[in-house]
Amino acid sequence: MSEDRNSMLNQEQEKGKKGTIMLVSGSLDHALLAFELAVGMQAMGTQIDMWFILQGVNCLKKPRSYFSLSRWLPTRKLSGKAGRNLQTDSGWQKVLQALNHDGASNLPLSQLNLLGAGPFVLSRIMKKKGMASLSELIQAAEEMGVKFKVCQICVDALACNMESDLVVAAEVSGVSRYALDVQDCHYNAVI
Amino acid sequence: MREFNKEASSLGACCPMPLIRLEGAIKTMKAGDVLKMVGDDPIFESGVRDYCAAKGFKILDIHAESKQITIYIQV
Repeated sequence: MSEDRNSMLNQEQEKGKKGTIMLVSGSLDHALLAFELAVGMQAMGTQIDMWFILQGVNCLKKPRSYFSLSRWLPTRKLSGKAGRNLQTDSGWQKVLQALNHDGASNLPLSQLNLLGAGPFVLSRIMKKKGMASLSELIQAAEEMGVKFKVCQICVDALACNMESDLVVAAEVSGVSRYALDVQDCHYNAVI
Repeated sequence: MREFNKEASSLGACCPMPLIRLEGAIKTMKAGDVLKMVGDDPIFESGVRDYCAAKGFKILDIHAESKQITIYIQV
């Protein structure tokens, strides 16, 4: 018995520490916090899995310009295979796509948004202080080996095309996988 | 002045960036090499100390000139 336990302990030590960070909010400040935590903890030697659900997926999407047609007219097809149930798609998903803020540079602030003036001022301050912007942090996180996982329900409901809509490679998973990840991790945050 | 195998700098960058640069520099080095790291973040020194404590690296030397801090790390 003790040998088994020792081998189990050794295996755990070899695997190293793990952590999960779940991003629920679509605000710029919350997304910045989540990615700074993820990048910092990954650098300190903790393997981080990042989960994105609901509005949290917005910061991973490719930005759509306010002046492009695809921003206002949902010209993109509601296609994509991963994690989708295409029979139950409807036009309301296109309405939601047109209203949605896509892209790391288009996110609003949770407080003092003031119709976009808040994020503009914050980005000026961050540039002056030498802080990394959200898109730089996403790129750094991908390079350092943070794993990205997106909730299947919100991929299906928000008509997200996993192959072409996201700036990083992400995996579609469900709550069962999240439960497994959380049970054997040392750190968990829901933001 | 010490001898070093590699030099990295995080001048002008803020909180998580020194860790990212440090991790990127150390990935390309082998055991026993010495890294020279320069930074001017207010919590740069404590950040590098925590990083080395977590990863088991040795800090050889620290010296500060005004705001600029230079740290030598043995991998």
